[in-house]
Amino acid sequence: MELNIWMSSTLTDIPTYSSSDRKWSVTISRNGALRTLHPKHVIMATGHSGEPNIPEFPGAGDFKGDRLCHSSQFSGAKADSQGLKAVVIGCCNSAHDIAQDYYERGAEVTMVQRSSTYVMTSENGLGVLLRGCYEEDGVGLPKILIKTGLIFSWGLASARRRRPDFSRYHFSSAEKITSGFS
Amino acid sequence: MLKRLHQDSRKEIEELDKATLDGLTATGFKLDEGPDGAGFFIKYLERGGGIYPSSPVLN
Repeated sequence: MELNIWMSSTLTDIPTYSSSDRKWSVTISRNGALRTLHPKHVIMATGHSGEPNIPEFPGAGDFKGDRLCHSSQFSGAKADSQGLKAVVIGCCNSAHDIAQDYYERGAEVTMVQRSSTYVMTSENGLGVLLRGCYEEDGVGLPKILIKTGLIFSWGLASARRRRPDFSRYHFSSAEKITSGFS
Repeated sequence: MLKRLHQDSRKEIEELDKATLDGLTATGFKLDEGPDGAGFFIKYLERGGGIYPSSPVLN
């Protein structure tokens, strides 16, 4: 893509924004040298999950079990976990998958929940959320929706179900936008 | 507008998943409906987490 990419580069400070110049000041350390840039825009693109957040549990150092780890380091429950006890802290995607893995391998699992979780089954949820998107008699997604993934298709498919005329208008706009990208 | 549409979708999914959700509540699991009742997708966008879409049963 002929993008100008700097590898092995680190932000040295939190970027600051000048309202009068309408520009950022961003200092970057690269190969031992400092360089300050003044872009109009700074885009955070560091990914979704980032570094693991591992809480400190009092007494964790006394843990006598065979594994104490963050979900990102979890490689799967032992094939025979019969008689073992597992505690899963947290109640979202990874927590449920890990709890199920232990359960299916015979362990006694306790899940610790702090705040509430939104749960849906994929069987029912995806059917409703994606209805009309990827079906033989679906709406025929324009290219821009495929490129930008599910974000718009979920919304537009929902809109079409309720207002058939909505998608006709919106999709024709999207097709025009698409031609500028492809 | 996206959130408003997802409020309806969430209600529809909730009806279909009623047995699962009732079972979770009965066992003491705390559920929520996502921000303003808009469910899975909006909670993912606003929180980046706090959701569990169960994996399809593969076997």
